[in-house]
Amino acid sequence: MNEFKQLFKSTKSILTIVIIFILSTFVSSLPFIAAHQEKWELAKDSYSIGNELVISLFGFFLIFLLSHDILSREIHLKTIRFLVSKTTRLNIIIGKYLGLMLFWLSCIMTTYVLNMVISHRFLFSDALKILTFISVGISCALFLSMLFPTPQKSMFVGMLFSFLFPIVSLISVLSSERMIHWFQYMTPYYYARWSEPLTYVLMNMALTVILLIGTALLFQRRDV
Amino acid sequence: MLHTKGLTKKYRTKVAIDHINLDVNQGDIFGLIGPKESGKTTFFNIITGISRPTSGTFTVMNKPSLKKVRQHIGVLPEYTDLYEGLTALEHIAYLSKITGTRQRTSDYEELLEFVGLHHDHSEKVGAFTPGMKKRLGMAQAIAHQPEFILLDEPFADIDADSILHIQRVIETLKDEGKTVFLTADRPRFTNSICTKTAFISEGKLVSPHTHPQEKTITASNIRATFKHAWIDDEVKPVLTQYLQTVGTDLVISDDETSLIIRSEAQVPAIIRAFVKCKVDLYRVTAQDAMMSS
Repeated sequence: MNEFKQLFKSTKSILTIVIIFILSTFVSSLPFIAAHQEKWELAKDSYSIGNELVISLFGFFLIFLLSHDILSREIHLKTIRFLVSKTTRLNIIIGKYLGLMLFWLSCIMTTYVLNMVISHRFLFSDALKILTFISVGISCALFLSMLFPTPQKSMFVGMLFSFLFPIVSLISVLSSERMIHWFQYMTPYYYARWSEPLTYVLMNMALTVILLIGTALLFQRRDV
Repeated sequence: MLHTKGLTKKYRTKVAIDHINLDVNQGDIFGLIGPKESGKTTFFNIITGISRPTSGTFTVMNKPSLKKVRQHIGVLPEYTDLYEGLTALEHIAYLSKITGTRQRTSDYEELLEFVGLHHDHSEKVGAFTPGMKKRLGMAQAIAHQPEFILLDEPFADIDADSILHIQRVIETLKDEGKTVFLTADRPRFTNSICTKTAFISEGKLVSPHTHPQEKTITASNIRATFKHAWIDDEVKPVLTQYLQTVGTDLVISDDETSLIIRSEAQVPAIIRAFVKCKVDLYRVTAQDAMMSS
């Protein structure tokens, strides 16, 4: 809850909502979105497609920008020692994950409500899909923050990852080259192509769980 | 309360603690004394779950795992930053919530009064002095009224007022029949409160007679003289407050300061005090205090 409060009380939450809303409104007004809207998915409106595109392209960047040091900062400042002496390490990981998820849930829901004001539609399943995508991003941030336990390192690696991961993922999904094609199964971008929203949600939740378990295992082995 | 058997921690090239066997009984105020790098904090970190032993076992409150006793122990780790964006009150409330022992705000206010921070409970922790931070750390350790309190270096690098407050808190815990385990690099502040003491040197428990710190304390009084840059009048009280916790017979002039210390191990703390006050040091000299007098 501390993570959520700190992020939400600061200007970061307003900035995040404004950035996503402006970008998605801009993207949704692009002519090719309107031209292909019907071809892509009948049930969607252009704002929802805009949201999905913005989060797919910039979601990882925004998550890492806000939370690259979620664990590394506490390890570096040694405040993690307070937490470790009070609860289990797994609880700390879950608490951090839930705090960040709550922040993003608030931001995404606010964006969808703002979109709803314009489009008069609230696409709950699309919001859920975006949230599960963000869930993978948050788990990646936690994992890298534990793997590189100084804020400088986690910032450098996090920023690099947030730029490269979407690019490599999209290449792996679109390419037929075997050397890179296997990577698609490890990215949420591959599962986004499946028309069944539930499959996408489940696969993203599975990726989240795998990354959280990895983070917890790394944390168990580390002296803080 | 605490029982360790053959507790060992090895890093790549160094053995930090070597087969430590220690027993702390209920009601003890137990001091583990040793110089810097002697293994005190490594030992403390292992018994509080902050790090893991290479070999050996330990039980806390007769339980081999900390999982079931976390609510009954209070921990003050060494050199830990606090959450600087929170106020003292929010800090205590946040950490209590993690322990799962939420209380009323008035209880936290009472607690902060107990450690001498009643005027500062709405202040952001970032503005606190090291002594105030240590007192707040002490408050969070005892907020949930634990049976067993573990304190790592509670008297290190803090002002005299904070030392007195922390000593008073430990005395009260002693009167309440609580068990306290604490570490310190010298027995100066622990002698009056500890009911049992063990000495550690180079990762091993040693007898008081062979403990190098003890030898220094009984063998010498050193007058350390520091030649430094000109000190402004407003800096002098701050520097005095820092240095009074380290040594005695303090004399501060505009460009020279001298005081009596018990061991060379105290010199780094003095240098840190000058650095904190942003005073440039030019020369340090030391001589036997008896000879100088």
